[in-house]
Amino acid sequence: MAKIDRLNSFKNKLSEKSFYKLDCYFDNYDINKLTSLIYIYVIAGVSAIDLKLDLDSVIKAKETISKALNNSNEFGNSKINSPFLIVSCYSSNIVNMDIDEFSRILISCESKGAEFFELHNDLTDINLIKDKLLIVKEVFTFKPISISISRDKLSNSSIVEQIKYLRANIQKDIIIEVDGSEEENNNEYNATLQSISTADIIQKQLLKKEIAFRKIPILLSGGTNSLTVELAEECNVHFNGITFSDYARNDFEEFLKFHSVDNDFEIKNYIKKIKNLIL
Amino acid sequence: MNKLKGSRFGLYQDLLKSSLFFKLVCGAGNEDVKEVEYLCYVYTLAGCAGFDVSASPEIVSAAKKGISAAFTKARELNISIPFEPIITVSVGMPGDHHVRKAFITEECVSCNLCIPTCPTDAIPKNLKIITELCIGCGNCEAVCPPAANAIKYTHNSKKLLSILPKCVEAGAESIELHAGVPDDESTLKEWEIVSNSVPNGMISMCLDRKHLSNDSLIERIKAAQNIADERLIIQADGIPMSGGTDDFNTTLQAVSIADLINKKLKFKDKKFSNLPILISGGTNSNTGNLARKCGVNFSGITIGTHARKIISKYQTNIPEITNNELQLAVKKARNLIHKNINLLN
Repeated sequence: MAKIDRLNSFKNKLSEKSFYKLDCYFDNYDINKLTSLIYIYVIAGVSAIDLKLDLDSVIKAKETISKALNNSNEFGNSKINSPFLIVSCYSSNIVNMDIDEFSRILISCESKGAEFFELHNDLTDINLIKDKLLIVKEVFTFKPISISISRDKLSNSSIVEQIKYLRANIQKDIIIEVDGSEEENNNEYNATLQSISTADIIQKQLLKKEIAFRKIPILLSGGTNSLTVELAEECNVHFNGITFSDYARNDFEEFLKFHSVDNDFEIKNYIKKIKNLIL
Repeated sequence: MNKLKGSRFGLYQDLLKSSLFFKLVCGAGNEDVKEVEYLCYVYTLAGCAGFDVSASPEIVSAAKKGISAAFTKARELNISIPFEPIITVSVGMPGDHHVRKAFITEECVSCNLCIPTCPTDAIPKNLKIITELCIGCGNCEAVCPPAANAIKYTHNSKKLLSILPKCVEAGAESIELHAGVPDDESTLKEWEIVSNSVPNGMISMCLDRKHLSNDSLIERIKAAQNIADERLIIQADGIPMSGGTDDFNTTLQAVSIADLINKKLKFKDKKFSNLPILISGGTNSNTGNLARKCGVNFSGITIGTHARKIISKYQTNIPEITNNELQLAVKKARNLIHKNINLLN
């Protein structure tokens, strides 16, 4: 029953356009900084945490989330909900992985608290990982699968075809995370333009064209920053949520230059700032 | 190319360098002589820098006639036109049946995915494409399984070879190839023909992302520059022929593709730092504003549907248009140009 409530809550967040995710898939990022970042975002009320498909990462994140929920009162945020825990991986990283090994990792992550799965698809032929995706569907029963997609290797037509393939052959219930694939992320309109325009093209060429795809939630990611919502609204591009990644990390690094995570007053002010970003 | 400094070629390059190039697209398939004449007449008076017309000597002549009439009228209305606009002819647009026809090779695996994607029902169940119906849009190729790769094209290069010199003779100074198709090899063959047709003129390749990923788009531009060198212009096409509504949403894809080319090529590779980018495909009165807001550099803006629409109600034969109607049309056209290339106070 609790799992069903969680799933409903997850879907409500998306339909209410209030889904904000912290993507923690950073290579070689200091683990203490990462847990501090998660801690702050959980207290600020982030909807979901996205982690690398890795058991240790899930365990560490769960511990941090528990700690943040316990301490949230001290920061005046008593009504926060536990964020959804998503594990993700790149298609190219699993395409040659042994299927039993992949299955074992998924099951162990799920047993320790991972609730959803996201695929960062960097292959032009998604059929190559069909068997893996069917395992995902089995492990995360009744859960939507999120696919993160960019235009780097795919044309507009190919993106539409991949989404159709996924829905027809793997899982009807999907979420599309559009990746603007930005290399630099300054807090400017420019950084968030590719993400918004990719969401726009998926809406125009699929969601608005075919009834079966009309309600697929769209998350904006890759280059997202504090100006994303404003630009998307000005451009009349619909979205259900936003994923913050490099912007969150870079902004946190800026904070760390002059402040300390051990100072509750400074943390409190920073949490206020993050609340403005994600709520 | 220094010897061409001060020439029309130099003028074109200067306009692009200063981001002041505004081009009216009369329509690659627009064979209406009277409309083209009228559009060129009004937009020349409004200060338009260039016109994009169908690859037909008659249409080029109509454009020249409209421009010439504008110069005569300008004296009467005391309007200063700084230079004669540059005429570009458009060829090779996806869907242009004069340029290419698809056929299915023996590698076909009979998956039949191509049949429903054909907009003209040119692919029957026996998978022998009906040449007369094929418009060369490339939809069949886009769905053809990569392992089969069974869609190839035949190219009517003889047609291009014969028509382009006539267009140049009639007054065309530049040629544009619409090349947003997946097939690199055939596109570059057409590009060679275009390049050879105006050896001393700027040539433009118009690209969109319908069938091209970001990576393929950049590779296509690199290949195009190998042939055209500093004569190359890239027309970054958002969603071709989509400029119906005058808002940010309609022009978003056009600004976005220009941004992508800037970031993935112009800012990264010195060889391309001066590559002129024209924004097109869904352009309207908001294009320049959105590009500036998002920090997207461009050399010019080309507008078709929206630009034609805003003056269509005044359209009549040139001698019959009243001064009052003409001035209203010119004012609308001028506002559109100035708003886009930021000449408004």
